[in-house]
Amino acid sequence: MTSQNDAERVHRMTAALFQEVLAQPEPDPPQVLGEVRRGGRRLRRRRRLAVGAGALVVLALCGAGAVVAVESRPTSVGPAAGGTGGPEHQDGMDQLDKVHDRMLAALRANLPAGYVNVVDGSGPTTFGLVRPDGGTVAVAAVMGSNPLPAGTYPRNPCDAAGPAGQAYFADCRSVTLPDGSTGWLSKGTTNPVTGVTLATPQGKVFGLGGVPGGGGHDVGPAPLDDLEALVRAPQVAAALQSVPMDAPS
Amino acid sequence: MSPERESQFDEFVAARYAALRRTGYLLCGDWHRAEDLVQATLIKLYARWSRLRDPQSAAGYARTTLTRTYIDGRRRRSSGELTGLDLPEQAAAGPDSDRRLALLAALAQVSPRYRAVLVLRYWEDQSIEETSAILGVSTGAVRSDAHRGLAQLRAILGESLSDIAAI
Repeated sequence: MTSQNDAERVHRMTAALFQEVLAQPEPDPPQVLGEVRRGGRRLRRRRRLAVGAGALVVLALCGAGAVVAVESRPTSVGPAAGGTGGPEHQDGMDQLDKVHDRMLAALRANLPAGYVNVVDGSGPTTFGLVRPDGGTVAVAAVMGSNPLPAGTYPRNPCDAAGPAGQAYFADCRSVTLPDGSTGWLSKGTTNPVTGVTLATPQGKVFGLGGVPGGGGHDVGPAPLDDLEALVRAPQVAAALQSVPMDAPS
Repeated sequence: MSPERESQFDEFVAARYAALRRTGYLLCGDWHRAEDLVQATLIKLYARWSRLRDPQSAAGYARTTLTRTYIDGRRRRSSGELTGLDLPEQAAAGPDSDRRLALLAALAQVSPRYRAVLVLRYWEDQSIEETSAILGVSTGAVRSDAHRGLAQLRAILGESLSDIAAI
C-alpha cells in the first residue's frame, strides 16, 4: 500500500512539474496541412522506393535487363521507420516528382481511344488509365537496368525460351519510332503482363509495361495496341526516356 | 486517398495538434522544435493514413512516432554535432518564468530516453507496458529509465521537486 502511495505521489509530482512547465501562453498553431500533405506524399513514394515497389517481373528482353515493376502494396512500415527508411534515389525525390509529373501530363495528353482519364498508380511512374465504365488499366514505365551499346536494339522476346524450351512471351511485334528508336511489343505467357520495350539509337532503353494493378477497378494489363499508341506519341516517348534507370514504378 | 479519409485526417490534426505540440515541448523544451517534431510526425502519419484500418489508432501511432522521432533526432545530434544542453530560449520575465525556466533547464539535463519515459508515463499517462511498446524496449528498461530519470531530476532540483507536488 505504501509502495502504491509512493508511486501515486511520484506520478502526481512529475505530472505537476510538467503542468508547470506548460503553464504559459502557447504560440498560435501554424498552418501545417499543406506541407504535411506534400511531405506525406513524398514519403509514400520514398517508402515504395525503399521496399522496391514489390515484385519485379523480368521481361528478359535482349539481355538488357529491362524490367517492369509490378504494382503491389508496400510492406508495413512502422513509426520507427523514420523519414526515408532506405537508400535515397540517385536523382533525388524532386527529380522523381518531375518525372512523375511529366509522365502524367504526357499520358493525359495522348490517351488512346477508349480511355477518359489517367490517375496515379502505386508509385511515381505507375498510372491507371481509366475507361468510361470506371475500369482501370495499370501501366508502368520500363526501367532499363543498363543502356545498350549505341546502334543495338532489343532482340525479339519471343525468341527467348526457358530451360525446357517454353516460351515466356507471345504476340511479339516489332516497333520502330520516327526517331529511330526500335523495340518489341510482347505479351507474357506465364504472367498477365504486356509490354513494349525499345532502345534509342544511342542505346537508352525505355518503354511501358501493362501490369495487373490489383485494385478493385483493375481490368487487366493494357492491350498491346494501346501500349503501341502511347509510345508512338512523341511526348510519351520523351517522358519515358527521361525515367532514371533505377526509378521505382 | 478518398475525400472522406482526407477529411478524417484534417479532423485529426485539428483535434490533436495542440496536445502533440505540448508533448513535443515537454520532450525538447522549445516550441519551434516541438512544431518541427509534430510536423515530422504528421507527415509520417499522413503517408500511412490510408492504410490505418482504425482511425482511432492514429493517436497512438502519432504518440509513438513523435517520441521516436525525438529520440532519433537527439541520437543523431549527439553523434554529429557539438551542442550544449537543450536550454530554453525564452527570456525570463518574473518569478514564475524564472521557475519555469529552471524546470526546463533541469529537464534538459535528463537523458533523452529517460525524459521520454517520464513524459510518456507521467504526462501521457501511458502504462509501463504501453511505454515499453512505444519505445521498443523491455518493461524492465522502462522501470529502470523512469527511476533513473526521476533520480536525475531530484539531483538537479532537490527539494523544489517536492514543492511542485504541493502546488
